[in-house]
Amino acid sequence: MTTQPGQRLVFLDVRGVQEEATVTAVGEDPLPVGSHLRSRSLTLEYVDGTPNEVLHLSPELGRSAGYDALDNEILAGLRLSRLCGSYPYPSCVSRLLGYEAHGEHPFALLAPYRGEPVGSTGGRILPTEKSAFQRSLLAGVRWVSAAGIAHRALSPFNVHWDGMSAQITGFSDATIAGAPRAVVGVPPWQAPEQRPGQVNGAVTDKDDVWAAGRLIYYVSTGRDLVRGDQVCDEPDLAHLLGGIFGPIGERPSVRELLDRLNLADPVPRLAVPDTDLRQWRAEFLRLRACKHPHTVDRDKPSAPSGTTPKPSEPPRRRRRLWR
Amino acid sequence: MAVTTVLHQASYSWQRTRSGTAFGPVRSTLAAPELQRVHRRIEHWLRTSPSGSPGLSHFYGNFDRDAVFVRRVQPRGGRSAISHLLVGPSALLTPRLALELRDWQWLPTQGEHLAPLEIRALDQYRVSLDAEAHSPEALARLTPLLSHVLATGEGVVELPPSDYAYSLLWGLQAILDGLAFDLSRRTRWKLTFETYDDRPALPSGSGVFVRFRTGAKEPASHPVYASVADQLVATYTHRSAAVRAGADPDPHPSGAHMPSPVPVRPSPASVTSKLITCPICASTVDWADPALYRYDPLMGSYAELTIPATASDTQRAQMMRTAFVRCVDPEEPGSAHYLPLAYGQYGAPAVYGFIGATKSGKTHLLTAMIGQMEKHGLGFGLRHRPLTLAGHKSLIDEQVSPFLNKSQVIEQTRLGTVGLVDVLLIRDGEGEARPIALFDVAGGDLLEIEAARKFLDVVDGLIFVVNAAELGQDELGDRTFNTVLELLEGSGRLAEVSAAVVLCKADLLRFDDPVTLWMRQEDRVLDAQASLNESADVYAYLRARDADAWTRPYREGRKATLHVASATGSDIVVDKTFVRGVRPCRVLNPLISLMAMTGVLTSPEARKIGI
Repeated sequence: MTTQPGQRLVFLDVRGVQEEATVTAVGEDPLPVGSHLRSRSLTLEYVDGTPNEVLHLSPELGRSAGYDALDNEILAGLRLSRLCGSYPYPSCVSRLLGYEAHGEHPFALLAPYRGEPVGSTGGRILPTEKSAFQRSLLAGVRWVSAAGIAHRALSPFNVHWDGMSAQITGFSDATIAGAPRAVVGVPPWQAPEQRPGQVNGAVTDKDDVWAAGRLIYYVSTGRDLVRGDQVCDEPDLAHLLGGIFGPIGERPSVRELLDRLNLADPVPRLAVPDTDLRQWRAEFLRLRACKHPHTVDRDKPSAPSGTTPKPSEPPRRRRRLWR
Repeated sequence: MAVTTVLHQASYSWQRTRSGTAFGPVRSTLAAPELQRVHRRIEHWLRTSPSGSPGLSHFYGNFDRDAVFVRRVQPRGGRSAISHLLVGPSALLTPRLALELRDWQWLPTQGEHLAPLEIRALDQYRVSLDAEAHSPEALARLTPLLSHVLATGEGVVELPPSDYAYSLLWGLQAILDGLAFDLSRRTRWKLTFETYDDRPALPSGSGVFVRFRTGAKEPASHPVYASVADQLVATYTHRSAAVRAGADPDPHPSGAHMPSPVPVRPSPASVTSKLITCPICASTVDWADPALYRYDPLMGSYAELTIPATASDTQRAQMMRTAFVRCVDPEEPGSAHYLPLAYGQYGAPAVYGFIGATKSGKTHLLTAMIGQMEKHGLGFGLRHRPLTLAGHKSLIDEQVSPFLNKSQVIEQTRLGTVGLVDVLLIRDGEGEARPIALFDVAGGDLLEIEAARKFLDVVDGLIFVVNAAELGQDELGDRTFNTVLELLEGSGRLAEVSAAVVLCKADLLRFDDPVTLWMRQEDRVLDAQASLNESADVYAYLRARDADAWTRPYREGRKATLHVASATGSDIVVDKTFVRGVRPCRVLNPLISLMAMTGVLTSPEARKIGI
């Protein structure tokens, strides 16, 4: 469905509250080739008259992959918003403002991206900006991993740079940590575990580290990384990127990379585990133990009662039911 | 309701007390107040009179929701009396289980103490009495006994001590549990019994109490109820899947013989019979040499199939492949239904039903399952094929294909029906092939549907479909869940039926933890740990959403799993079409879990599912 001026959009904000806004202006904002989503710049006017510039993402018509891509954007946006809670939203990741996920024409509304894709600058930034790029990119990856998701497709086309800091955008391939790995991303930014024939296991918080390291190398040197040991030839990068391009089991976490830059964890607090769910999971396990006692260790068998009833009490008189 | 699959036990003998000696408990797994309560209720039946029989006898009683089974011996007179008690919920400790455990001398210990007994641990000690109960001598005695039970209703029926006591009780419980129904109370009679007593006195009680007592007279058939009893016994002899003609020779040929009324005695031909329970009407059908039928698609009806004597082996095999066996519900003699011949030619069939309210999504789930099986198979070495080729093709053409390829909405299950949707043959690697029959149960008020009751008497596994769109709207949960669970509990089958609770239409919850994670996991997986994790997560999610009532199948069933699934992938319908297309998600795992829990899959991993 084409979004047009005058159209009324009904959607949920990230807290699940229904919002309404009217489209007052529409502009095209093409996404990279191969994306299953279509994007437009919209100017919205909310019911209270507040105007707002947003990015409108919708699936390409008739393509189920588009629905999945939009779901991934919404999932990532919701989880990042929930993680932030009342804290200021981090500028190093794109921001979901609202969504309509279940209707005939689903869409997501995002805050406009900052800057331009770092790939549009030919992968080169000023030498004085390298450090800021590294710090903000890794901070963004850290926020993503803390939200329990993996972007899985970091590349120069979806990491933006505005001259001050990087911003991770384009979560259409994102998924939740623990989901089975799949062939995702495009060479040469594809981590080995995401390549055809090498896919194995479940997504972890280290899956984005490979692409982030490769992107840092590319932006810092202007060259593609052909072999992992090339980083040893770059004294400025050897320490930061050490171990990133080896086996995933030995790959450092993003927090370790932040440590190497002497940076504190940008995530002020971890998401508080849902105590409600924990409580009910415990109830489930208690029920299971009751139904199937052999599934739990029972170090103390039920002891016989020390106060057994008095034997042979006189039988009680009761109404005779059998006639 | 407290959920347990554990039976308690207690041991009684004579003890010295300050005031003398008394027959009382010496060991027990029950807490003192509970044991005291049980003690008061069954004290009379703890032993026979001091001068009574030295041999083994049993008492089985039902008190409110609890049942007590007492094993009594006094080998050297009254002072040597020893009694052992099993105590548990009557849904677990059924008369049938009690009779099966008649020869078991319980009291396994943990160290020096008695241990509560997990019901599963008793499986190895359960011994059926089917063969003995179907002996001509037992059947001849069963009719007059049953006629008096029917005449008395809830009350006491006495017989003289008999070597056939256990066989008679077995046959009686089978009939009361499956064939007879107390219309005035809309329930089934609860059988309680005492296999020997020598005292005329009797405390009060409730239910049907059959007692073998010295001095009682051998009953003749009741003049009014003899005919009904005849019919029930005849049906019972046909239905049992374990009828064996001429089982054991009569060890007491001089014993009193009742006049033999109608009971159909096993004929010599049935020595080789293979009896299959019809999943549609619960009748027993002899599969040894049945009359064959074929489906005529032009006429839309079945016609008798005669295989010419001149037919070649190939022609005969071809005709047999598409042959059906006719079954007539004895309670509806005018109606007939047909089962594929292959249904009874492999291992024991497993019968599964889909339970859920109208619009819960169960028909779409079932259709999506069949579609995904057709498209991807079941995976990990499992093979399947339809047993009714014409019926399966029709299902694919008329229901599955329009649903999956054209995204068309399937009409709701008709009200008042329990419909057989498909019969598939499942083979796990090189193991024994077993048929599974899939039934779609209408979401109306099952209490009014007798077919549903019959179905629940034969079902092995149920898929309870939770409608994600309904969460939080009704704290009482799905009425059909409650009805089915109560019917199962009433028939004593609650512990026998496995359950897979499926949070369906989970696409509506796909951004919620932990639904997100499970919606993105793979389908067609047999992994006990993953199944347990998913079950715990879905249970927790339902509880956190105040949907406690929907977790009842897990809480009350013995083997159960919980799942997330989406049959369609989205819920938006315009002009009876899912406008975003149909994309089933994780629909086969519940069926695979059910096959594991009901023994169709037999790998070590499969045996861990649902526990």
